Amino acid sequence: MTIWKQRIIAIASILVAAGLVVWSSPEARPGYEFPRMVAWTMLVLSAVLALMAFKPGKVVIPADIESVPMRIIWPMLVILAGMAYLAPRLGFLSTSFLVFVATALVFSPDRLGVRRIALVVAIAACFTVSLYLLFVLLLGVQLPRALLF
Amino acid sequence: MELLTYLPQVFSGVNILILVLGTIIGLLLGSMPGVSPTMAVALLIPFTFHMDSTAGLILLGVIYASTVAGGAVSAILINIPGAPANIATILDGHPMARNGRATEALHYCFISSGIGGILGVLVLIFFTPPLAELALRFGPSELFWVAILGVTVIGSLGSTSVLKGLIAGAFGIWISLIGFNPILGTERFVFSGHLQGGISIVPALIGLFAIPQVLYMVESAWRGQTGEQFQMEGRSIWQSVRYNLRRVRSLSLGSVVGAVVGLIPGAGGQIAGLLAYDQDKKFSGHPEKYGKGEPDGVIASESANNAMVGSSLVPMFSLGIPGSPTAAVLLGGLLIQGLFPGPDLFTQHASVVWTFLGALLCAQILLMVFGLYISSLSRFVIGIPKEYMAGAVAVLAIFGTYSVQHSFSDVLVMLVLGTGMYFFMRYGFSPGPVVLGIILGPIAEENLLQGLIIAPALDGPMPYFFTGTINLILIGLCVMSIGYSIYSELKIRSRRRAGERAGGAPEA
Repeated sequence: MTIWKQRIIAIASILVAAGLVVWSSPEARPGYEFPRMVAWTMLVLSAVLALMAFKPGKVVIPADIESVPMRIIWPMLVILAGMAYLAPRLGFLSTSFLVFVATALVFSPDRLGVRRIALVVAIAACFTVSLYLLFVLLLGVQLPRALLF
Repeated sequence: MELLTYLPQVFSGVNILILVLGTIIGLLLGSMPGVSPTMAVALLIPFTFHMDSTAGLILLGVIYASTVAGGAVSAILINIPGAPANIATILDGHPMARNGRATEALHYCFISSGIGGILGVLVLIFFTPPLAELALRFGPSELFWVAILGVTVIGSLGSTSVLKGLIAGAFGIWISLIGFNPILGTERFVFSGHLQGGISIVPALIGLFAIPQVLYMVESAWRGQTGEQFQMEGRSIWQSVRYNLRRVRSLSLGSVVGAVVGLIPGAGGQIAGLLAYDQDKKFSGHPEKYGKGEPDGVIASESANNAMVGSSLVPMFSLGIPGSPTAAVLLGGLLIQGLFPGPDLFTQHASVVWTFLGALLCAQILLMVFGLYISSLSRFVIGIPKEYMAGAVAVLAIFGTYSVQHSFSDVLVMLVLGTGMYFFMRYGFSPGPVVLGIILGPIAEENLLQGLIIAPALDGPMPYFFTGTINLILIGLCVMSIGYSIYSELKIRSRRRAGERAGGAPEA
C-alpha cells in the first residue's frame, strides 16, 4: 500500500511542478526567468522521485507516509474555515471564543455533561479576555469589530 | 571585547524583564507536548513587532533556548518529547522517572542544558564575527549560491527523503516569488486579491508550523493520548549539582558534539542529542546500563541539544544559512526587524547583536536556575488537555498573523498554507525546507538578477556564476550536502532491506 501512496505522491508532484512550469512561462514577458528555473528544478526532482517509486523490482522506500485521519480532523478543518468566514463578520474576539469552545468540546475525549460545558465556556471566556488585554490594550492591535465584539 | 561593552544593556530596562519572562515562558511552553521550539518562536514573532529590535531578538532567542530545555520535562515525565531535540532524553530520562527518580532526572537535564548552552553561545560569540568578515567578499553571485546552499542543506539534511526535502524547498522558493519581480517591479502569479504584494514571511511561518501542530494535537486529543505521568520525589538540588558536575565525560562530550552538530546547517538538535547519547554510551564503561535509567544518558543528550542552540545560530548570523528549522524562523524574525545577516550586522547593528549574544549567555544560566526551581511546577503544565492547547494555538496563530499588518488576507494565507502543509507532512514533506525557501527565495532571485545585469560587463553569466574560489566552494558544498544525504538515505534503505530480509516481511 505504501508503495502506491509513494507513486501517487510522485505523480502529484510531477503534475504540480508541470503546472508551475507552464504558469512560469508566459509568452514574451520578462521577469519570469527565476520562477521558471525553480519550476523546472522541481519538475526534474519530481521526475526522479517518480522514477524511484516506479522502479521495477523490490523497492524499499522511507517509511515517511502516514494516512490522513480525515475522520478525526475534519471538524477542526470546519472550525478553521468557520473562523476564517466568521471573524470579519462576527468580530475577532467573539469568533475566537467560539473556536476555543468548539475545539475543546468536539475533541474532548471525556463525555460531555453540563459541568464540563460550563468549565470549557469559563476557560474560553478567560482566554478571550486575556487575548483582549494582551493584543488590544497592551499591544494596541486594532481588531476589526463587526456584529458582536 | 564588544560583549563586555554591551553586556550592561542586557540588564537595562525592558531587556532584563524580557529575558526573565521569556525564560520562564519558554520553559513552560517547552514542557507542553506538541509545542515545539519552532512553533513557539513562530507564534511569538508578531509580538516582537511592538518591541525594539534588541528586545524582539532577545525574546525569540531566549524562547528558542528555553523551549529546547523545557522539552525534556514531558520527555522524562510522560515519555513524549516536547521537541524533536529531546528524543534522546527519553531513552534514559523516562526509565529514571519510572524508577522513582523523576526529580533527579529533571535536575540533571536543566544543569546539563545550562552548561551545554553556555558552550554553544561561546561558540556563537567567537565563531560568528570571523565568518561574517568572510561574507564581506561576497558579491551577487556568491550571495545567490549562499541562498541556494541554505535551501539544499535544510532540504537534504532536514528531511526523511532528500528528494522530498528538495522538492519542498523548491516549492517554498516558488511561492515566495508570488507578487512582484524585484528588479522590473512587474506583478506575477497574483491570481487572487489576497495575494497582492506576495506572501509575507510571518503568515507563512505561523501557518506552516502552528496549524499542522493544531491538527496533530486534536488528533492525539481524540485518541486520548496523554501518556503515563510519574510522581516527583524530593531531592536536594545541590546534591544533583555536585553529581552532575562530576560527570565530566558526559557533560563535555555532549556539549562538544552539540556545538559541532549545531555548526552544520540543517543538522538540528535531534541529531545532536542522539549522536551525543550514542558516543557517550560507546565511551562508557557500563554501556549495558543505558536505556534503563542511566543519568549519563540524560546528561549527554541534554547538554548536546542545548549546545546546538547557540552554535546553530553561527551560520545564520554570519552567512544567512540557518543551522536548524528554529534558526530559520529566527532568521525570518531578524529580517522582519530590518536586520540582515553578515558583517553589517556586527558593524551597523553592533549594539543589537552583542546585547542579544549577552542575553543568550545569561539565558543559559537563568534557564538552569529557573528550570531547577520550577521543574516541579511543569507537571501541572503537562496536564493541560490537548484540546484546550489546540484551540488556544489556533486562536493565537490567527491573532498573531492579523496583528502584524492588520490584514485579513494574511490570515487566509496562513490558514491555507498551514492546512496544506499538514497534508504534505502526512506524505513525508517537512515544513522546514518550505519556510527556508520562502525566506531565501527573494534573496536568491534578487542576487541572480543583479548578477545577470553585472555579468555582461565582466566575463559573461557562466564564468561569473561558476568560477571564482568562493563560488566553487559554495557550489561544492551544495553538491556535498545533497550527495551526503543521498548516501545516508541509501544506507538507511539498505539497512531496512536487510531488516526486512531477516524479518521476511514483504514491503508493498
